[in-house]
Amino acid sequence: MRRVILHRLMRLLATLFAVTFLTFSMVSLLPGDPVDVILGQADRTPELEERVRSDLGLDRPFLERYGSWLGNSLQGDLGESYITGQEVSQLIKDRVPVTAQLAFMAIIMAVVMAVPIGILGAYKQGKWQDTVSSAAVQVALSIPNFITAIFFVWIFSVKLGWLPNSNWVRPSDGLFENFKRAIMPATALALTQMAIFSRLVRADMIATLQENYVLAARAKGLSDRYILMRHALRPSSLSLMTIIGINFGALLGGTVIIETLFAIPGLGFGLINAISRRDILVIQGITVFVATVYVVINTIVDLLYTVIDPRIRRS
Amino acid sequence: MTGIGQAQPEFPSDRVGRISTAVQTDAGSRAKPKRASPREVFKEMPLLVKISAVWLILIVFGAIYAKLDVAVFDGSLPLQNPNLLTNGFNADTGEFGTGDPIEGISGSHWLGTDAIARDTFARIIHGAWVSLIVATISAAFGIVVGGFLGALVGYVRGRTETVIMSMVDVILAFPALVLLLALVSIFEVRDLFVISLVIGVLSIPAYTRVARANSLAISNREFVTAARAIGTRPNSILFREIIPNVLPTLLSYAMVASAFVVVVEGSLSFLGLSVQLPQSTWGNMINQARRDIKVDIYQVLWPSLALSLTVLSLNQVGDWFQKRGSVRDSAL
Amino acid sequence: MRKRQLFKLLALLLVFALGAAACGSDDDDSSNGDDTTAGDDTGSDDEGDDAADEGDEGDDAADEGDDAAAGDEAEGDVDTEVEEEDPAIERVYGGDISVGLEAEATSLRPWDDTCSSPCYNIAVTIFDKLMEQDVDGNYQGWLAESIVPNDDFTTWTMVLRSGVTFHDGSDFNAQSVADMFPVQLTGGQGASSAASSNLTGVEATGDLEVTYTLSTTNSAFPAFLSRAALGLVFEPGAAAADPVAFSDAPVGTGPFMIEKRDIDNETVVVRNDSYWGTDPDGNQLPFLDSITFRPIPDEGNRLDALLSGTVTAIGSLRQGTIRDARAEGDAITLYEYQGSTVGGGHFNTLVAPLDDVRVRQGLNRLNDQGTVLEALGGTGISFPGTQFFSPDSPWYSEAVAAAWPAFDFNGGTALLQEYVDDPARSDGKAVGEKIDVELSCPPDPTLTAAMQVIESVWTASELVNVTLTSFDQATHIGMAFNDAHQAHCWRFSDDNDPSITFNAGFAPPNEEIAAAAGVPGVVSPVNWANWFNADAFTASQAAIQTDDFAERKALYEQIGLLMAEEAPVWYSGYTATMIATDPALLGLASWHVPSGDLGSGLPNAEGHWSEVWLAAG
Repeated sequence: MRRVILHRLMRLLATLFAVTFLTFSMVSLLPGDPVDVILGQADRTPELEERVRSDLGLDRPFLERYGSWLGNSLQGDLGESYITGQEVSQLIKDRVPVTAQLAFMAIIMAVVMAVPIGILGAYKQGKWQDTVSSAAVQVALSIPNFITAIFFVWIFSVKLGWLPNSNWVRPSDGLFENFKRAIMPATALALTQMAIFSRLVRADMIATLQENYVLAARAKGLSDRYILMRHALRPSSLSLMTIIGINFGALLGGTVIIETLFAIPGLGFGLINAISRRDILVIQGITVFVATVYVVINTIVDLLYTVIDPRIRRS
Repeated sequence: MTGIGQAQPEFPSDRVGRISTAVQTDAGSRAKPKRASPREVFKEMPLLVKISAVWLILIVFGAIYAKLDVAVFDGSLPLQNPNLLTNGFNADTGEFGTGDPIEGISGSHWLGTDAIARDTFARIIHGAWVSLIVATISAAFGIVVGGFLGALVGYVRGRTETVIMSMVDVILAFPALVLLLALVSIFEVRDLFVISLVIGVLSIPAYTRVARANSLAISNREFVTAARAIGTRPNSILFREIIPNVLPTLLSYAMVASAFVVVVEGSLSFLGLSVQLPQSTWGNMINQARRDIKVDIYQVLWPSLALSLTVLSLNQVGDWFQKRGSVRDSAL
Repeated sequence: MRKRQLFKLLALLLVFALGAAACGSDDDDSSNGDDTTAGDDTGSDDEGDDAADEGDEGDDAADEGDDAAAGDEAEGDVDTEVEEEDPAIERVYGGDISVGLEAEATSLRPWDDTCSSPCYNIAVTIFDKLMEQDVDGNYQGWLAESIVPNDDFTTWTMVLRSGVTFHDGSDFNAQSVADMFPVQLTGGQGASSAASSNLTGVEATGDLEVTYTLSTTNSAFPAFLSRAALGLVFEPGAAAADPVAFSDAPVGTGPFMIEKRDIDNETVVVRNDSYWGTDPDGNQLPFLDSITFRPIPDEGNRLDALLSGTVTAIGSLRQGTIRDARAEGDAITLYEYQGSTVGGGHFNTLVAPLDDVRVRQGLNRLNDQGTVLEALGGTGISFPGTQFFSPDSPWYSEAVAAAWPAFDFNGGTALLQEYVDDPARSDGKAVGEKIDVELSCPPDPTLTAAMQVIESVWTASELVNVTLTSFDQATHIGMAFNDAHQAHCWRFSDDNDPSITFNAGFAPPNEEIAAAAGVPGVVSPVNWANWFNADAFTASQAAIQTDDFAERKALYEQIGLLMAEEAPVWYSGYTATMIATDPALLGLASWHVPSGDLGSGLPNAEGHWSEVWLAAG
């Protein structure tokens, strides 16, 4: 057990190392003078160029630069954007709550929708309810979220005028106003997740319903509904948790288009803005951050899974 | 971990056993697996899957037709020029066109015209080519490289497996879309084939995992054990036993993965980071039509439908093949 | 290119780089007609009138009292008349508004960063300018009370308004202006503006008296004091101490003070209770309690935000958005503006095949302006361009309009054919091979549409291989700056004094050319087309030696004719811009300069927010 955990943690460290190295070298691999790359088309002066040179220590060898960059990053210093003057780590700190809120809302909505649909599909397997819900799930899975979002905007903002499609309000500045702005983007994100989750729940439930102890329970005369809730849902929730963890990390990246469409000041929109400004240090910072979160969450999920499910532990 | 992003949920890490391990063992080791003819396969499909398959065939046919029209027949096939402005100067006639931007459906423009009076139907058909190429190249790349690596490490195990799977994990550690955005924007990639290759490289890990899981399962099968026992060379086992048996699963996985790839390309185009204009793609059509959404929603709707239906069809057909494979498998 | 040299010269990164890029951000001030020195009136309104006979639009600029929101303008013309707000309407204090802008103001250091339309909106709430353009295009004092040149326009003496304080409580006086100068020289925009205005020294010659020393004559100098780089007044101490932090916490003398800066989300400014300004009726300004500026890059989203009431006002530089806004009728108040800013693009005349005038002329004749304008958002919003001045401008020249190459497919193709068949063709390709041209516009949907229209006709000639590219705005500007461009979408000119555009725009693009022209060291990085014509350069220099309007106009006309001959640029149409507001928001267009005259209105969607109030109820 301990060995497994240790092994996982080692792998986490190795992966993190590789991820940071790749991101760092991606920027350094760019053709041309790194100063040009980093300053992009900022209005520059010789003084600023000099400052960038000394800030980054461009006269030192690549590995040494990577080392000091990594050291600084570990202390939460990802450098500052020479284009907007913002601290990259501060920028990320400001934006994470926004993206996290969207991701959480999306996942909660997805789970709330997915579990009943999945159970229904499993319970009525092969019947018309199953056919209809499976078809709906397939459709939800197949419409890219930016298309969903555009049509949401068209219906709820353009045609009905019910919901604002931009102008983000932080929860601290008004919970209801915040909710009104978050609901469309979160739903657009949630639909795909919902489809993923409900397929999983359905498949898992069907598998569980075949298990001996469920068959035994049924033989004992327990009602199907009781069996579903008490015996079948619990093991299914384990795999559901796994996939939620995995998708949470992916959502952090997946919000890029949605945040851009709705002008929501989260990490994804920050990334797109940085891309359009060619603000390399911000692109680098956000990429490293998102990748790190992703890796860490996946490791945690793996570990939890290992701890909870004895079958994995044994193998 | 998921495939190459969030839409491949079926394959969480350590649970890859869920993947159908469709193994065609009926004919023993050397004999070619017996295959159903395409017609038989089609007959087996449920109605929805049939419709999906037909849609996919239409899209592929349309894409190739459009490409041939431009590349070989110099626009002489019956399909409108996707880049002709029907309201602007027409060099062939020497006159200004009488078309209008953002027209509705009509006999001359089956799906109307876009913001600069080009025929939307022709642009959608031409856009299919981009999706087709991106999906095909990345799938080919994934199957060849990822499939081979996965099959290899699943068979030989040991240190090779550790090293390769760690590398795979690192690539998987990046959320695909974020990494793709960073790469495409930093390196200013605009070429269809290069973009396809980048997406292809990013999809290697997913294929590797699928192939490895299958390879692991197959390596423990009787016929492989038997082959080993009679002293067949490892190379021979890998190429004659393992890989042919992993391939069918990979192919059906490729369909589902392609659905995701088509969405990814659509997203890139939508953000203006994909192929060069005036080449139409479904994503850039949606993006360009979005400006006039108050005036007309249909120019957004048509490419959205094309994209969504294609993704839906790929998922349907891919799923069905996977299911079919696993049913056969479990029947063994 | 040596960087120092870059800055040394005619500058203007300022106005130009903003306007740069056709990217939707350009800046400029002001109304039709303008003239140089303070207090010198040339009766420009009439000039504007005669000029406007451009085919189909009946000009009505003179003196009618049409509502600015009217949708019934003649095709292609936009009413940019500024009127007084009804004095009977009660001015109301208080209220918070939010304003949707097309982009974030990436920083609030006026001396350093390019200040485009969104940036101006925010900046003028926090910073006051030294000079402002009034409704007639004349430059009047704002924080300055007066500015007077010596006889040869090499020394300008400015007297400042008294009793003005910065937001941090410190006094604003001549020394502040003098202390600003070294800070300005450290910034890209400030340094290049100083260079292009010939400014070499700023000195406090009294408590409230500042003397500007120029290296050579510049009769149009006050124009530069109305632009961001040299005109916006900031607290020099804080700026010098930490320029990076200053961007987050700018200190000026303006009607509002910075409250919150959350880049890419919102910038909040709150009322400066001790502001010095009053409206002509003596009401203390500003009226509003606070303004929240929000970047909403998507055009459609921004208009929706206004319609749904989530923002109180929006700005736009896109015809398509103006079209959509017009369709909303009375639900919003629409202030349209169409100035001398003209869209189109420039050819990099230093690279083959664009170094050959036949290619440039050929491509220009294949520029289907009518269809391009339709792609930009429908006809009836703006009309085709022929020069750097709109028909409403006093500088507009009939002769140039007539000389500019009109659409002529066969004529254009013949010119291109001539080049293609020329054994000595400059691109070194074999006779008969197609010409390769890269056409690049920023990735805005509207520009993307326009770019594809141009491409389609060029391609239809079957003599040109067009490669379409799109790079984000910053890169797009940078490519032109570094001469890595070919055919490059751009937006030219503005309603400021022409010298601001022309001085820098037609100077030698590199050292070699400068030396050959006999003016070594005079190099302009912002001669985007890299087109150097000795006569045009001489004319642009001569035009700042005098303040005689007719003489200056003749010189600028001469440049226009040379451009029509050599075609270093192509045009689409004059840029229409708008600010649309909630009908309850009043007083936006009718801001005043301190003398009580009306200001220049809302050129380029740049709002002045100090005299704005929210109607009661």
